[in-house]
Amino acid sequence: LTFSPQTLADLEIGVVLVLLGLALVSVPRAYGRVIQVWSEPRDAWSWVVVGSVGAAAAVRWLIAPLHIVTMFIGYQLTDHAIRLVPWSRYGVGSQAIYHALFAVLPHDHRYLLWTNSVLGVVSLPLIATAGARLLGDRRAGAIFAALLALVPLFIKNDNSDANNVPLHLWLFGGLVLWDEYLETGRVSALLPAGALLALAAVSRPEMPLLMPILFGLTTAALAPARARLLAPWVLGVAGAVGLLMLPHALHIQAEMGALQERESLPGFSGAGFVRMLGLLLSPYNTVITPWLYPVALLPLVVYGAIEPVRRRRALLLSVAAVISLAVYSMDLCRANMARVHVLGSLFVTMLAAAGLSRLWERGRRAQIAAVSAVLLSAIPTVIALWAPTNEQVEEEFLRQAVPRLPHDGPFTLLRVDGEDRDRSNPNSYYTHPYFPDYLVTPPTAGGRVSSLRGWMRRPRLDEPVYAYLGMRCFAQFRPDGSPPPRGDNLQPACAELREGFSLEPVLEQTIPNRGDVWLNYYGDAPTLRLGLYRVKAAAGAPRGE
Amino acid sequence: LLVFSLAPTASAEDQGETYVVPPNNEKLFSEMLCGAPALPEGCACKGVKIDHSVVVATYACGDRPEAVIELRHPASAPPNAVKTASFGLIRRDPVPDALFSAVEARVKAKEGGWKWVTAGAGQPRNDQEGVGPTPSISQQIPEGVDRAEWADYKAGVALYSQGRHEEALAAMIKLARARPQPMAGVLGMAVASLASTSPTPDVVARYVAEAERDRKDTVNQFLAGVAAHYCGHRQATTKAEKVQLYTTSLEYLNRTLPQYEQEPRVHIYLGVSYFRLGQQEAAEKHINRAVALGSNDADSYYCRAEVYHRKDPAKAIADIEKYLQISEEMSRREGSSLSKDKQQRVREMLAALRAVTPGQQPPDGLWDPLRVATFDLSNKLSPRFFAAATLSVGALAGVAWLLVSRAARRRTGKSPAA
Repeated sequence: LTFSPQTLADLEIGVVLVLLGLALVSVPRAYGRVIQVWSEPRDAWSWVVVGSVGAAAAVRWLIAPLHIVTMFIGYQLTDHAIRLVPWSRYGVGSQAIYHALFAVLPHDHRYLLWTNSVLGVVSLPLIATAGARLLGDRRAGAIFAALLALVPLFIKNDNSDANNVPLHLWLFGGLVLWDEYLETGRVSALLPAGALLALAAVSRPEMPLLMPILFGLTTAALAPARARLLAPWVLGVAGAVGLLMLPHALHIQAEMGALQERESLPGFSGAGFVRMLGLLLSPYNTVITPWLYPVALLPLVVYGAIEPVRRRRALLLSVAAVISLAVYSMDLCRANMARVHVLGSLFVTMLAAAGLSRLWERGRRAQIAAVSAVLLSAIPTVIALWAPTNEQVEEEFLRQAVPRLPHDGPFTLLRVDGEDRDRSNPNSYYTHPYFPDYLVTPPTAGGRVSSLRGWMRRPRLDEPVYAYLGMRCFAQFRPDGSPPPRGDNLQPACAELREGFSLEPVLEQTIPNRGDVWLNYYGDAPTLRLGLYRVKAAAGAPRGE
Repeated sequence: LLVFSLAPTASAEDQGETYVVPPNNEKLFSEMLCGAPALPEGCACKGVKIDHSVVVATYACGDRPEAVIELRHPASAPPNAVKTASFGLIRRDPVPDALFSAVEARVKAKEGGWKWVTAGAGQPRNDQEGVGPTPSISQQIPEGVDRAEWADYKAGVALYSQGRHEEALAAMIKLARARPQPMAGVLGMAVASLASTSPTPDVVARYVAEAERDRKDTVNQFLAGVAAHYCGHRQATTKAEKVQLYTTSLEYLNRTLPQYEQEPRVHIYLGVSYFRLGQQEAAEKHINRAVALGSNDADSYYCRAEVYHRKDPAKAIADIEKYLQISEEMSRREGSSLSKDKQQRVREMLAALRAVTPGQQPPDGLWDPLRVATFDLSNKLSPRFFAAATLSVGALAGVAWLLVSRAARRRTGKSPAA
């Protein structure tokens, strides 16, 4: 079955448009179930959930900063969300909600980050309710809600550009409704569950594979009646969901081929799933990395997983956690593990909540000890996850630079682009060159953008030309284990522009070099000079045609 | 609902011809819409933007809000537009009457000789420049070629004929690497196969990365150059993209010299790329070299016609006629397959060149128009439209939900259940 890329893209848009519309009805319906679960009975644990939502909102909206993760990729993600074409390899389920919101929000990644921050809080009751139902333990569900609100990994993820944040809303909203259907047999819960699960399935590249597995495991954990599971309505909805997933699955298949050719999918070849499982014991497992995930939760995970009363549920959720962590070994690096492992970490944390719930019965001393250990072990993760980076400095610099560009006329902004890679170094192909062009081009502003080399080939100065020589001028990807280059690692295209043209500083800052926090990009110079310059032809330099 | 809600976004152009502003007309529109004499009511032109098929002029008139006038092809202008011989003038924002009349008069004064270029169905465009008819394969092994090599070549051509272009390309690359000077026809078939895969910017980046890995690998330099050329020709939607890709093409094709100095294909792409970047002298040097090296190569003439069609339209017409003559003769004599579409397009090109009045320039974009997407959902979407459509689906689902709930309650006397 093959479609032209254009047809596939059109099909994906059509599917996601309809599903997003249905989600407008389905998410409130899922909230109805959340309210029902926590109000019958309305006890102290119900208020813990309410308090957790409040705490999550306070931490995310008032305390934690909003940051782009994974080295400038958020700029690309925002650009894709604004245009919705060309399709990024991530699929459309998450992009679609950003795209729709950009109808009313300014075209700026800051608003995408805010969207995620709000969706993160909105998702919390759904994830916690799914946890409570899957564990068959309201207390564990409430503790899970508190952990979701306060574990730094989840806060960081929600306050970022991670496209798994909308996915969690769709996935756990769907599971909450699916559980309702299994319990009550209401078709009015089944249909919106199908819509949300289908939307989840088209929200990430791995979801066409992972979603059915997780769905199967969670369904087994809920132990439904056979007749309800095999009802004609269920088969019909399952068939519809499968059909709706198809364009996305075909798209991902095509993208994977391209990525493998480009060697951008390092872990996906031959060795298969067994090698993926090996990841669980490697340094590339977020939940066993003490600077990313509170280590004190791990004994609680074990304690929760071996719970004798609900052993079957715990076992199935453990399998779900293992699979949803392992599947990401396909495309994993230090920079993205804290993001892509969040789904797996949710299942792990669900089990930790079961462990804490079990410990709760052992008295106040055990409770205080466990909570203190969790809090203490969260401290290193706060330090690591919010470690200052060069990319954050660049973002601050960018916010100061953009208002200094002309407001009332055309201009050209030169910024590092893929074309400006150091072609003598094959690794430069893996450097992320993305720049938020949408901040300076129509409809936001009247500028146009150009790569440095593209402009230097035919330099024109008949309208104002500015050069943004930011962090990308000092960034070039290096594989793990290679030492940082000496000095500031100034890239050849930036050096050519500096040497060939007179640059009049509009804004210039020398900032401390924070080095390689997530990916190996930078040199060992103690400081780096960022600047926005007005470009003037230097004496003897080529003039406009 | 989807079809219904999309309907208003499909313009008249989607149903018929799409009329495109040919490149290099910025100066004309600037003079037409902004130049002297001064505009009435103290209005000043702020700028002119050309976007494929629409020309948008913005004016500032004192303290009043900005005035915007759009120019389109008369056939795609709305009924309330004021139409001249070649344009439909549309007021987009409150435009003072005096200003609008003045602009209309200027357009009428300067539109003589203006020609729109059509894109899409029936557009005279060349998708296969440098790629001639699929060769028929002689049963006789050419001199200096061994049997195994000949068998590989025949297999590659067979793959191409079956539409298995990537496999054909791999076979031809292997053959090209077998000798410093590839066997006659190998690079031509490699180009044909590569062109048929319609390389995208991502694919070009991959070929470029391969070429950079070893600059002495002439085959890879050639592939990067050709891929960039075709990407510029077929995929570029702006002039800037075309310039960038043709420049990349030149960079890599020039690296194949002097090893491939005797290869007509290299000179064809160099000639055409130089021409499209406005370097007439270099273009002529290479295209004439291509014709000299492959005097029986129909495509050399086709491409030379492009290089000369502005400077010497008569020579271009003669070259196109030569192209048609050689390709049809080859087809008759050797049974090689001809693309009917391409032949038709070339005939239309010939007609367009013949129709040019002496002293006037032929229209731009005959050979290398900007790509204009035909109706496709992804290019029609704006966040606003998408949000509106999503809300419509949500509203419909909500209404359906209420109706079903009410019906179920009426039937059972309780909430809906399976």
